[in-house]
Amino acid sequence: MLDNVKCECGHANPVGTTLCESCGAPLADGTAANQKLDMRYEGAARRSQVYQKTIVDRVWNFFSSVRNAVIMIVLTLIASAIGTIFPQERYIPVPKPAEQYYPEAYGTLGLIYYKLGFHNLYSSWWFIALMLGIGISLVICSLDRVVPLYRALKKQRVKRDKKFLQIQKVNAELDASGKDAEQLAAALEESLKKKRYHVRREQNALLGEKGRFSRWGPYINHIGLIIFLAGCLMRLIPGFYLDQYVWVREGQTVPVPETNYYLKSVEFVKEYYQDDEFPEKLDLDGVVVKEYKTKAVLYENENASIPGAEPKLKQVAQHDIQVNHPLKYEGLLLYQSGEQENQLQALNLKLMDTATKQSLGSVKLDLLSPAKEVKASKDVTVQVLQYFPDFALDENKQPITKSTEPNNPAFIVNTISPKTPNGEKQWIFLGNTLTADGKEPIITYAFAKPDLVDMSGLMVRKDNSIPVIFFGAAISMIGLVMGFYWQHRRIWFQTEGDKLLVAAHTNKNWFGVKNEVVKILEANGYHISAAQLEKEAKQS
Amino acid sequence: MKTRKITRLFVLAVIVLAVGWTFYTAYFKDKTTVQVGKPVPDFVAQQIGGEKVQLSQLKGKAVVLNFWGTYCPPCREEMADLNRASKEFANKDVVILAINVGESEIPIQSFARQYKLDALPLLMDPARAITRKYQIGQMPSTFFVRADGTLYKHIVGGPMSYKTIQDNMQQIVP
Repeated sequence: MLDNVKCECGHANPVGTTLCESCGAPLADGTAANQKLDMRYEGAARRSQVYQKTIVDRVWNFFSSVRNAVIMIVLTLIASAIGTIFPQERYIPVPKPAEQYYPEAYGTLGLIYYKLGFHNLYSSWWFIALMLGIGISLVICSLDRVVPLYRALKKQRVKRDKKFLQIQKVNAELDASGKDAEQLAAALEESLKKKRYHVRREQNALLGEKGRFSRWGPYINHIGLIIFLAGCLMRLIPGFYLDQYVWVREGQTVPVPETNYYLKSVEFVKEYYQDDEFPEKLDLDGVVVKEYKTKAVLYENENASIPGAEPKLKQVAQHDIQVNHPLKYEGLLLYQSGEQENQLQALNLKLMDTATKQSLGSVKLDLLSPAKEVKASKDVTVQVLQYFPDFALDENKQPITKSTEPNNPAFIVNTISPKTPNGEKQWIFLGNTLTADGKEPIITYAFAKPDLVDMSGLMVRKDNSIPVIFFGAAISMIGLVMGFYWQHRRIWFQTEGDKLLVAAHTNKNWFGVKNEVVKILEANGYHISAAQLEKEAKQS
Repeated sequence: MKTRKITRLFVLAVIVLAVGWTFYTAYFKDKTTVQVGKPVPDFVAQQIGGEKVQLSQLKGKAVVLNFWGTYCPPCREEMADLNRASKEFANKDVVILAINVGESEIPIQSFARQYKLDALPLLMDPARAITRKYQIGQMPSTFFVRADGTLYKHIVGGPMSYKTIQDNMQQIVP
């Protein structure tokens, strides 16, 4: 501790101290008059200023710098702004790999955008590095400041050096000749107490203090932010966060992705407002939806250990999912967030003898999982030979399906009836039929109204980090309130000879503290205006 | 002075650990459930025109898992070769299981007839439970699994040449 700075009072202060830890006298060169007062951390040395030798110190110093923190925050903001110029990867409109899409759609800029990871901003390594940098800076900045501040406030002495009082922003020197110092101090102490100051006295020196806890506000706020940040990072832990989407048709039971749950949609309801429900006659083009609702049942699969095994479902929850009223079950949330009405579920076909126009019954062809054989009537059977849910022709003019969704269903059926004992092969498309050999069919298929169901789109969410995030936000709020709605006010009175030295300090609302000083002095026979308190400060 | 240094080191060490862990889980940890050298997950699936097949029941046999769909053009192209390889390795204890992703029985069956797949076991995964477990993205997706149940190689995309199929199968012959 060779570089320690020794004060006039004999106390050895660490390097970087501006006001003596013991008596408060300014330590740097220069007189009290031109001394720029830095009361932020009571003039105590911040740790980062004390040692700057080892790697550990350098790292510490980097993160303890508010300037560096601000640079990181500004960089984050700029990056976030740039991230909105082109769409993020999850919002690109065509199903193309990102490395193709960005250069094709936006040229060289798009390529740079992609290469730098702006297409997936929040998960790019450098963005996370910035966030972590801000987090680390938050911790180290706070530690670097709160420790010396706490110590300085804890051990502050009542009797201060005259210079310390003189360099305060609010100060005055009043005439105390002819007054008993003891009595004056006692009277001032009483007045301070009336103003709810916590008063300490050392001989004829007084220190009135209130609202010291508000000094901890920023640090509590930082603790809250750190908890908040930790909550956000918890989402990286497997099982903590789930963001999925599931489509379910009426009557269908589908697995909920990434969970052991199954969901059944009993019914999807879409209600519209009636004309008489509006407060006034509206000239509406069309109708207004009142409610989207999925009557849902949630099951748990008790046989989920082996994928593909027959699920053993146990009902665990039942709920009418409405917009903003999700189904909640053990942290799992299912939100109503999409709908597709009147999806084809099954084709209904009437069979007829082409020659006699005689009805031969009807069949239902399921579009999700068609049966191999359907009976139309006692002696008429329809065999399903081929099924293309999303029919198209490939480059060799071969029939294929483009997907597993029944967007454009096509069947090849073989009808076995008394007139066609060896069967008659026909194509069945949406709305028309075609015999395999192109001739007039012996049995005609006529289309009846198909089975239509509504499909409900549900957002699947699970976020176990929410309680942590809310807790962090609450702590952060408490810190803000502490720091903003209270002030740390201190008033010093000290008699030296026939002078009464008055000084006051606050971290904000100087107007308030000056008025308090004025009132306390007034109660003790000194008439001085608030403006004078400042003027005095300038003169000294 | 000494305690100060220790405190600083401690605080920085905690931070370094936290940051390291975050980066590791976010970027470096292999989140795939199927990894080379590790055992592949077990499953049960219905075979077209047959019994249920459980992977773990195929003791002593090497297995090729091919995830495919009739709606996937490169899958369609390699099915005939897989069928041929299936025949070739029939008595070498290497089984090919072609797991169809998301389709129903009739399209698979008619496809098998059209492409004359007479030796290739076709399995169904209508609810895509196996597909999800194996984290299949692009198709076809083929896993070459040794007789001890560990993964030898994973080939994404296709169609694979007959030689690729043959060479890799040769590598896993028990």
